[in-house]
Amino acid sequence: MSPSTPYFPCAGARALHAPTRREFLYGLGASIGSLAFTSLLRAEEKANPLASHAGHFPAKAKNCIFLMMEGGPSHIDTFDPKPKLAELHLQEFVRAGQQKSAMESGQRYYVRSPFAFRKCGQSGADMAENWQHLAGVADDICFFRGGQVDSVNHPTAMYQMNCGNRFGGDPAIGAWVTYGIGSLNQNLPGFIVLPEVSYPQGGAANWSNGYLPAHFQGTPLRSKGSPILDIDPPTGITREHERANLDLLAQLNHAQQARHPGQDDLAARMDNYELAYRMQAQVPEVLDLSKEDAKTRELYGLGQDATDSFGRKCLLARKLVEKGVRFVQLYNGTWDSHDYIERAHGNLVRGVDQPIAALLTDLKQRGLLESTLVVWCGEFGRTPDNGVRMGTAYGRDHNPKAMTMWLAGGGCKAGHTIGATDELGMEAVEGVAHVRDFHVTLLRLLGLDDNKLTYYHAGRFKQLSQFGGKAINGLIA
Amino acid sequence: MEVFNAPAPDFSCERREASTVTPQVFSLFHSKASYARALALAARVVKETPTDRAAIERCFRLTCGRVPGEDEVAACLAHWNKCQAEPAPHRAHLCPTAAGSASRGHRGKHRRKVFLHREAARQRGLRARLAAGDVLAEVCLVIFNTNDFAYVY
Repeated sequence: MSPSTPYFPCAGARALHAPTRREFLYGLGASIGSLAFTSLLRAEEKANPLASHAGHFPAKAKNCIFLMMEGGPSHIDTFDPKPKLAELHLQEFVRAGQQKSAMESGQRYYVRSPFAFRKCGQSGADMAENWQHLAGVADDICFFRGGQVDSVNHPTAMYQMNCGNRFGGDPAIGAWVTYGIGSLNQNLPGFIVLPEVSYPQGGAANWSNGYLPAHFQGTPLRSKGSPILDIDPPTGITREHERANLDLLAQLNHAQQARHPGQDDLAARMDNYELAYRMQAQVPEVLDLSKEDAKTRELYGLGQDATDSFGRKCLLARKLVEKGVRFVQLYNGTWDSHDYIERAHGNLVRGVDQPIAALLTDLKQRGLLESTLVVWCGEFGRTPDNGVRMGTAYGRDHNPKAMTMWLAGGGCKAGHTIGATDELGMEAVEGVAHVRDFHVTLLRLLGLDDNKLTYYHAGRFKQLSQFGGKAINGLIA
Repeated sequence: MEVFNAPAPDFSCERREASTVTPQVFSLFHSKASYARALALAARVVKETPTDRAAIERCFRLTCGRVPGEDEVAACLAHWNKCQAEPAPHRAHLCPTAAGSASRGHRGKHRRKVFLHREAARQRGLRARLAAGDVLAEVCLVIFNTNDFAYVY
């Protein structure tokens, strides 16, 4: 572990202790009034930072399950049909020179979608035919085709989708949300991440607390084997003994904290030991999926080769949300299908279709869908064309100018498709909105105002949208 | 390494993320690896020091590079005594001394008896301190988990 990131204190909140040169200069501006304010802040800091508290607006969504399809799913082959591409199939495609990705090479040609489409549900939502299960819950979904991002490369696009900033190092959405409204269950982390065995491009910074206090960072659970290593104490160690060890630890840490006040990493680390102690009691029960009845296990596709992995994640996400965990992010992929889109996307859709449909169905039957915002997206969409890579392989390139994201539950406008892309799926042309607007919308649905959900860092108040955005009203019921 | 964000082998990693999450607590507090290091520190310290108080001070010198405060020594000594007073030996299956030592040296019954007698007499003091060391490992484990040891300023 390394020391905490450079920290510039809010209104001199921490400047009264062990001032650094920068803190001292900053504190010169302090008046008696700000001293009183400082002590108020100090009192607030001591309170549990993860306690549940009200947001800025009344909101239906209390929790969020974020389904991150890492790698960039193709909107053209999933939820945004482009029949025009069948006409242009294999004709040469000439780029305007914009948005060239590093993957681009040689001659380019249009590629038609290998998947047939049909209209689903009362709402007539477009879905490729291989979304067999999701079709059954089409009316619970609000599709958004107007989304655009800035980056054509995976790690930067992942950072932007997860943290608002292409360069990483900023807090993830889950960190902002738990910072904004805390969490409902104090025996589990408020922001839990279920990554794949291999972490996504950009690594753990995708669920970082960034410059927010360390309490708000995402806690990853392992996707294979035991979700948390060594959660059980060794045999022979009683809970009383563990308590005694922790008490000694707290005593020693308090002495050290007195020497380094205001180090949130240290405070968070101490709190983590106490959370770990409480988690031991609750976590084994939550993580144990074997106790779920056969019907539920079957619903999520557990025990089936294709669906078992993501089915477990979806079922676990439902259980975590049910227990009051504020924000759960699930990773799947990689959806980076540069070649053989039929086989690659075919397998990927087979892996998530039933689990996601099961998640929406299960949340609904438990009365949790109203209060749970479900988000599905990748870091960008894909192009209607492909470069010639090893012959004609019918794949697709990265496309930051067009993508499909969707929402379900949590007060979104279910049963609607908002925005549109051009007839080739190259660029969003209707209801176009930058990812920052999408972020503002997510926060709004969770009862938070992006302009008020700020944190003072490096000389200015920072926010998820970076410098403000506009809620996409079409997505809100 | 996984719970401390070991980078994936498939991408270059120019910077490791620092993180503080609960799975790390379990690794540092419950894993065999941590406990083995705690046992090793405890065994070294009891051999190097004559008294319990000196042992605790040596622990702090070796781990945190400083002399402990009076309150810290008192807290650690109290914990050590408390653990020693507890009925069942902790983690007995992991402790080399508590598990009992195998017989070694074999030169006839009588000579062996004499050897063992002398050996026992010679090592009585040390043996008691080694057994105490197994319990001291609990204190060492806690010290390894302090912010003072885990963070560098």
